[in-house]
Amino acid sequence: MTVMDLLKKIFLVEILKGMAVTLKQFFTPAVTRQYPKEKREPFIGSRGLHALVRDSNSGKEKCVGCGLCAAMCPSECIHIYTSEGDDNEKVVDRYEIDLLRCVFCGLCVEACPYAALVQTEHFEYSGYTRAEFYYTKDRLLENWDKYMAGDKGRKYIDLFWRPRSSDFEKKSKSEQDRSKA
Amino acid sequence: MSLKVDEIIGVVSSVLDETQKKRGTLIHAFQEIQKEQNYLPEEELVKLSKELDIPMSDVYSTATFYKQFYFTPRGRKIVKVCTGTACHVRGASKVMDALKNEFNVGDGETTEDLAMTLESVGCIGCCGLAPVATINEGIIGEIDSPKLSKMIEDIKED
Amino acid sequence: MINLEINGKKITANEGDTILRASLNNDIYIPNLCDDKRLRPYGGCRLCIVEVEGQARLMAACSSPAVDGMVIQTETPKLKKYRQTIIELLLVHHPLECPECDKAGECNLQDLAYEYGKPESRFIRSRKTTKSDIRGPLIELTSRRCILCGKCVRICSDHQGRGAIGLIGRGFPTVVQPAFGETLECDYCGQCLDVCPTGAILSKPYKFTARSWFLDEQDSICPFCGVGCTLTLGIREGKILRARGEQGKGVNDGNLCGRGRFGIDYIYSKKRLTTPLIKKGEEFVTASWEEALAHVAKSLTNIIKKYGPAAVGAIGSPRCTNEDNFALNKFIREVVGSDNIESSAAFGYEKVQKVMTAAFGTNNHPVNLESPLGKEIIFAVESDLSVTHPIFGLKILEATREGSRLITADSRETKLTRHSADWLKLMDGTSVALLNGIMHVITEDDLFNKETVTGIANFDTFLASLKEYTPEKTAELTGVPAAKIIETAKALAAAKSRLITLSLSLSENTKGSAAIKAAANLVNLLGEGAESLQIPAEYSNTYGSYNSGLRPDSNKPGKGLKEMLYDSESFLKAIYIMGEDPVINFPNSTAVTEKLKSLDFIVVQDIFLTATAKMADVVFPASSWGEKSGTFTNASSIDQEVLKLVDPTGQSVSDWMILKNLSLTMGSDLGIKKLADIQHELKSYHEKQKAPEGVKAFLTVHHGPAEEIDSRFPFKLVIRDILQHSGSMSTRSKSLDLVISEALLKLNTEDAERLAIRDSSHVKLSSKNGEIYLKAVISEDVPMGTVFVPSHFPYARINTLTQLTPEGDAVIAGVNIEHAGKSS
Repeated sequence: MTVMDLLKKIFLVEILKGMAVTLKQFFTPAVTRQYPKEKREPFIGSRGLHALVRDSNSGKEKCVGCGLCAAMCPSECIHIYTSEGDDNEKVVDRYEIDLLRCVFCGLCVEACPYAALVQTEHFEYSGYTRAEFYYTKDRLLENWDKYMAGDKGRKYIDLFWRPRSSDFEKKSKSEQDRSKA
Repeated sequence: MSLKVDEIIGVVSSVLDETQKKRGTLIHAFQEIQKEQNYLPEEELVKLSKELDIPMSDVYSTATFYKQFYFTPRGRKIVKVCTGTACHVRGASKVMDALKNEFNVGDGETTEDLAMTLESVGCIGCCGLAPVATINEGIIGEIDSPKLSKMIEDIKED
Repeated sequence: MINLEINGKKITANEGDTILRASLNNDIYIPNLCDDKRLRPYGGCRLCIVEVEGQARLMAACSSPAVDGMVIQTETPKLKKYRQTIIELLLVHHPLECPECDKAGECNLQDLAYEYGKPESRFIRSRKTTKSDIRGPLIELTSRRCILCGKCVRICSDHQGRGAIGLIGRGFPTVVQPAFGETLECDYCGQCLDVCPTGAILSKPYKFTARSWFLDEQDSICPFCGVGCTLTLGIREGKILRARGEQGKGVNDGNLCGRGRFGIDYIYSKKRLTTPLIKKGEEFVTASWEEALAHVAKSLTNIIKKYGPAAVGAIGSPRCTNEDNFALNKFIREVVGSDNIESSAAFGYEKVQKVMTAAFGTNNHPVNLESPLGKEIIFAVESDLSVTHPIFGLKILEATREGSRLITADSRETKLTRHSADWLKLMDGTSVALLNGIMHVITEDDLFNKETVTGIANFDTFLASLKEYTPEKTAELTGVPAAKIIETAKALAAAKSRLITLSLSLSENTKGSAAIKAAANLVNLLGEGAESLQIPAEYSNTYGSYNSGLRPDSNKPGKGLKEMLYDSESFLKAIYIMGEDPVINFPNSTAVTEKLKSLDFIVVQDIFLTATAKMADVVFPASSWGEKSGTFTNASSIDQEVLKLVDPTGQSVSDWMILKNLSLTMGSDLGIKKLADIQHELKSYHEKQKAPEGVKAFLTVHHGPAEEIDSRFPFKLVIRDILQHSGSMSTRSKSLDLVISEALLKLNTEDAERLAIRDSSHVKLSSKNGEIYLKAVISEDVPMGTVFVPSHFPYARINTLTQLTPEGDAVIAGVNIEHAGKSS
């Protein structure tokens, strides 16, 4: 131990250094938020509660029951039951998501060929029973009305749903030339 | 209707087995029926299927493959309007439209009184006379409006 | 064997194989859409093109024969490009509706498009938009998805011998359809569903119920006929949704008939029994298992005490597993101490076994399902095997395609008669006379095998018995021209190899043991062994149940069905019926009903509340096929495992378990704790059963005329099976009911005119045993003086009219037909 070390110990230099840092932080603005009093606007496309897209024309779900979401789901929490309707079309009788098993990976949304399933920005929900987390078709459609009303849903799909059918349309020759240039 | 299978295919029959012989006569049989009846009526085809012991679906499938066989009665006069390139350029569509309007039939249809059947065809091989149409076997070339009126009269008279 | 090299791998192939077959057999996959090993090469899709060294052109592997020393490449950049273009062309008009198409996930076109296709198409698309043809009951045709590979058309006409659909039209508008665009009316075998590489042909009952990846697929054995086909069942969340055949599996190798494919939904019938029922007064009251078992145990014990064990009898079931039947066997012999046990095989397959044993001296007679192949002549005697045993029937058709000469003797046009070289159109119930007539010609002309007949007993008496069956007399008896009889006899005698085949079912009344005896005589006369006479067992486990002890022991005083149910002497006081409906299925049901009414105690254990169950004192709900494990032994003596795939309906329990529980309630242990115990015991039981071989013998038979047709009952009533049903069980299937749900009485046009009976009107049918009401249809198929009714339908109660002969055969009954409304 040198004399210098001894002096540092006596005059508590290390502690003073630490206190200096603390003092500096005292005057810098805080990064933490006082959740739940203070809420933050979620980013568009954040993976929250699921919703089934309501087709504005028919007022029914856009989902055709192809089952790709259920096929992709790593936690196997999507259950789809279809049957034949009066006009021999495919009718989705039940579309259910067991949210307690969901890991919010978003693969279901990615797999959907019709943009019929989205994840809303709503992530705060709670309940007293397990049944409350078992989302049926009607509840999922309600979510769409509640959290994706108006332009929001369209914007979400425009931004995050790929590939769109327009992606398959062949670019006209002039467009191709332009993109080359 | 008698089908002389061996006569039709002659020597070949010795190398063909029975089923092949039966199948081989199908088109001849269709042609015979059509010659007599002007089209292939359902009852005749059913009879043929039973006679030759070939499934009905097979008989019908063969018949529908050829454009020359018809399944609805045809008119006494068959009017074919050429819509080949040369005729098209020289106004075949106008001829066609005029006939359609006059007789109130569509392409490939027959008038209710079975007087005529209107058909559009590809090139009939006399582009020099464009636009051309045929009534049964007779050819009418370089159709203009007087000729068209005469043609319509021809078709109308029985 | 030839050697060739594919993708650098040296393989061997059979001579005559195509390149595609050779490589698929060696686990080298070449993409293909229009090939099926059951069909001839077609070369429609061109996806199987390969590069062959030394050949400038690409070759279609499905239609080019493999040649010794060939060097083949199946995956090169060039081929990939070609295939890509082919797929692109196939998809030009194919609608993109995979999300709504049931085929997605198991669609060959989808798989190949995924593998080879590129996302962009160079062609302007006009997708086909025609609507699906949903008019047929079980099969839906969606021509817009069709790629015109013609597999369905070819399997229907070439393989199934039906030809219900064709490629109608030419070019792009071509559609797969029945003639004239009519509603599809076919055998509903559904083979086209399995071969279709796209979603153009789909099953209607399965429609939109599950995507293929939701299904858990398991193999089990079909519960219907004796062939014992392997069904690949699609199960979702404890419910069987569909069945399909998978090539390379089971005796059927992917072939299925409509019963197996569509009929298995009978287990979901709303009429299934769910709880034990005890009759109190006239009504059934639901009871707990304990209550019901105690009631049965007490009643049976009382009866045994009072009348002795011989007063109790049992009927087993060819629909139940070997284990169930063996448990019943043990129960009745060990717990009750009686020996009265038999099954419905007594009226069908048991006769076959008995006659075969008497004629050939051997004990068990399984059929060989491959036996028709390679035979010079196949002679089907008054049986449509393609109806009773469809997959065995397919083998017969396959043999005819390969050059066998099929001769059928039948009264009606059937699939077999359509495909036969010769059709001997005989009158119903005269096959014995025909066979005797044929044997008369053979013996008269010295065409029989003289070396072997000397070793067969009773030859001289047999020879004498044939004397009266001259061709002229036979022609008169059977309606077959004498010249044809002589021709057939000579052809049969001259053939190098021959197969005589027939079927004998419980419900039909046109032939009995006499016909089998005559057929066995013919086989013996021609110097052939028992393998030349193939008579398949009727139901899924007829063969197995017969060999699981469902018959009175020869050395014990046990009584069979005939004594139990038909004898006027009433030794029987109680009966235990497992999975059988004697009131409906057994001949002369009036007598059976009377007998059952006279009994003190009846226990029925079944899956439905059958007519017999309604007469019972206690009804136990049994779990059906698919709800219990066990084994079925098919007609060719192969033990096949039947799996428990779904949960039992209601409180139902496996049959063997009910018997085990009942035994425990009666204070006796069957020595069974679990299924394996029975299987173990059954094995040693089978080993004990193998009896030594006896001697061959001729069994003299004569043409016995049908029940007398007199002025009071002038019509011959012919009962036979129809393709869509098997026994009465299949009539509970919703799907099969969509095809045929009525027992229609077929009546000749002239007879109908004479009686002034209009098409689809109701008639009263009466015989000296009873009367029933049926709907009549007028048909050209039936000869004058004969009426035809399918068996199967419980509601029709056909057996009210039939009669059981002392030999235990049901014979053609004389009936009278009247307007239903007329009072007599």
